Amino acid sequence: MKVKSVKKPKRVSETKAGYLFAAPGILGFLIFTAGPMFVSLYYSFTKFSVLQSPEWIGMDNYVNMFTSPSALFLKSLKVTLIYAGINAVLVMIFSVLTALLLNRNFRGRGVLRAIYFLPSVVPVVATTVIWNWILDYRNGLINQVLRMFGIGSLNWLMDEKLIFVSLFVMSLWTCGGSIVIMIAALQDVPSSLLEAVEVDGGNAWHRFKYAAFPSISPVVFFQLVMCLVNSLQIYAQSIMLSDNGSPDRMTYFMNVMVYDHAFKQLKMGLASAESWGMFLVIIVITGILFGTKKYWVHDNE
Amino acid sequence: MKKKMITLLLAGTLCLTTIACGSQADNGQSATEPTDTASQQTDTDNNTEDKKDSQEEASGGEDVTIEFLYYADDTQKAIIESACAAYEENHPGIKIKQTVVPADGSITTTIATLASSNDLPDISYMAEADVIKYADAGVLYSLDDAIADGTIGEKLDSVTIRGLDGKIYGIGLSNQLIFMYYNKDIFDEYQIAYPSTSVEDAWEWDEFVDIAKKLTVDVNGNHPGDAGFDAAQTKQYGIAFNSMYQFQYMWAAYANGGGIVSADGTQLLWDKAESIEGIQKIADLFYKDQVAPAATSSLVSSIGSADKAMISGDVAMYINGSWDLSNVINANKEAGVNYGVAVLPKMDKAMTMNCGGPAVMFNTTEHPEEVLEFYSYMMNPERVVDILKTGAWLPNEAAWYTDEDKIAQWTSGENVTEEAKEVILSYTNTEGAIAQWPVYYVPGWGDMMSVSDSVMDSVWNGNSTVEEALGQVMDEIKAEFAK
Repeated sequence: MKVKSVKKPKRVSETKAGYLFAAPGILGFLIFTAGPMFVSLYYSFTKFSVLQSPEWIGMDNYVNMFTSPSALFLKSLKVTLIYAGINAVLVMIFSVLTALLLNRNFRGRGVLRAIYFLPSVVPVVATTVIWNWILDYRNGLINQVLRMFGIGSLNWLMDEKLIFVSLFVMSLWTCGGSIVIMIAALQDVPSSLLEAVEVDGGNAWHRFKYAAFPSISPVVFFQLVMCLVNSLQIYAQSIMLSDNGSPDRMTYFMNVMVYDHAFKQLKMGLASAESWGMFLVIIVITGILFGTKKYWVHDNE
Repeated sequence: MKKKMITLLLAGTLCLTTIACGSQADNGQSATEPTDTASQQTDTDNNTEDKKDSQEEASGGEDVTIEFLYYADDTQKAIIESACAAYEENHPGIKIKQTVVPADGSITTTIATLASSNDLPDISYMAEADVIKYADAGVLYSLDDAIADGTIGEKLDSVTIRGLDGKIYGIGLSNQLIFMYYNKDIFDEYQIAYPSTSVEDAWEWDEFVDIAKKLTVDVNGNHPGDAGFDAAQTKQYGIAFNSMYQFQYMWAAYANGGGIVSADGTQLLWDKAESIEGIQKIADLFYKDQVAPAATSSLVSSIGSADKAMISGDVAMYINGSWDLSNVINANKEAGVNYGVAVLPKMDKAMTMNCGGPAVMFNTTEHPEEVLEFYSYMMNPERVVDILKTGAWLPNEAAWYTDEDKIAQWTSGENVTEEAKEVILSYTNTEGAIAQWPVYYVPGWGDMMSVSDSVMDSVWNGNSTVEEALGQVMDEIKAEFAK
């Protein structure tokens, strides 16, 4: 008993100190994240133009989002999901492949690694401007080369399908961060496992399939989730190329739409409702991904 | 023990600063919030007291700073900056603090952000459709008194914006007309006569399309309609649009005998067969006639920007507003391209549309007297002749299109060429040749546009006809119009 009574106050003061240390973070979250979130939830049930105080309209925003003929929510959701889904998979495949190559022992490896990593240091706005020039229909570098080979110009930015190819290329070009993480993960693959596969007569593919991939799969999973969430929130690329999701709203991604409605059309209520729609979509997709985890992610536990 | 005390203290201070910062922001907001309504009252009720105050301030030698927010491209920015500098020179004690945003519609966002943080400027350009919203929110200064007592001259009705209460809240700094620019060198090369500068002699639409086809060439030298023509490999286009923003195509609805909204604002004409057909004629230029490069409805877009193409001599004709006189003529002179100005082709009638970015005064200003003086200065064609000469602005008063002396003043520069002058005067002095952009007199315009914009891009992309696209949303447009 005596011992306990001595220890107790010490524990309390330690807890207190812990909370106090965590307080800036917690308060920051409450004030700058949770607070605005709940305010936006309230706004999503109102008509609010910033200039005048919000007016309660119940579920109207949510209903209009889906039913009004001019509503672009579903189109926006569609193009966002298509982009994010394909992009996340492409980025994963590309960064694992590149990491495997850059993980081999060869001269100039360090230089190559740096080259692959560099683009991800440049802000996306700057890279988009450059890509806009490169992909330009008339004077762009790529079309000039294509014309030189007699293939002719392709409308990389105004064609409804090619714009996605352009966006994927832009995205892959900047996935150096992901490659670096993959390389680090690959270096943690126990060499005993790799040797074991070799002893069993396995080739490179077997080494990857039975030894390397299982041990980097938790990292791949984490990267996939992060990349998917980031892709769902794509914004700057679209805005830098056109301000209304050209061509024909194929790049009118969720964030672009929310910004458009909130700050250009001053429909804060509708934009809040759409943000919550997007929030739910991201949660559901992440949930599904976590559900598939047990089938392909090798957990060490 | 001592260490623990220190860590506790440190943690404590961290918390305190966060809380303090948070509450400070709160205080700031709540302190400024009431001024919205308060200053509104003082502006209208205690106008005399305000005047005294500001006079005292001015005579007391204290500088008055006027915050001026506007949008501009590089050329326009330089023009406005020098106008402000000239004003400061003639008005000691007045400082004009300029904030410039790009001319791509972001002014709406900027003002909305400033409004939500109660940090509105004194005077600002404003997107046409926003004026009624802000007037309704009660933050704009009513200009009726200043017009009544002659501080601000009588302006063209077509660039004057009234609020729902019938009072005037915004006036176009300039008047602007949509017309055609064309590359004389290309016309000479193909031995085609230049288009007319007079409304009476405007090309018939079919004639215009034929000429555009002759001037459109692919890499193999074929024209649209030829067997081997490859639209994807077009080397030179007959016609290009800067963007497919509202006023760049809506004139066609009027020119074809229809319209968008009747001039008295009571009737929607947009769904008439003639209006739809007129707009379709423009849309056909892209994928049916294959004489125009792809364009989108966004006002300024880095995608498919026609300006570059035009300057590099890849476009024979180019449709845009008169403000581009200050850009086009100069840029082409530098590039050695010989450019002319002409009227738009004719459909049922030869018509164009006018616009003119309005400026507003906020009633939250602390110096209404000085701001109004600056506002009326910028609004007075006589004071801004230098800007008019550049072609960036056309005068916003009727007399400047009829009085010979006044016309001579703004057409004496080298940007407003003889052709440009003829085109502008032909439009302004021909009865019914100018359709007014309905944004100036239709309260629900902004909402009508967010509906129509959601479908018009599919038209400009060749995915649907005007009838299909607008048919989808016409009921919604009508509902917004009726509100």
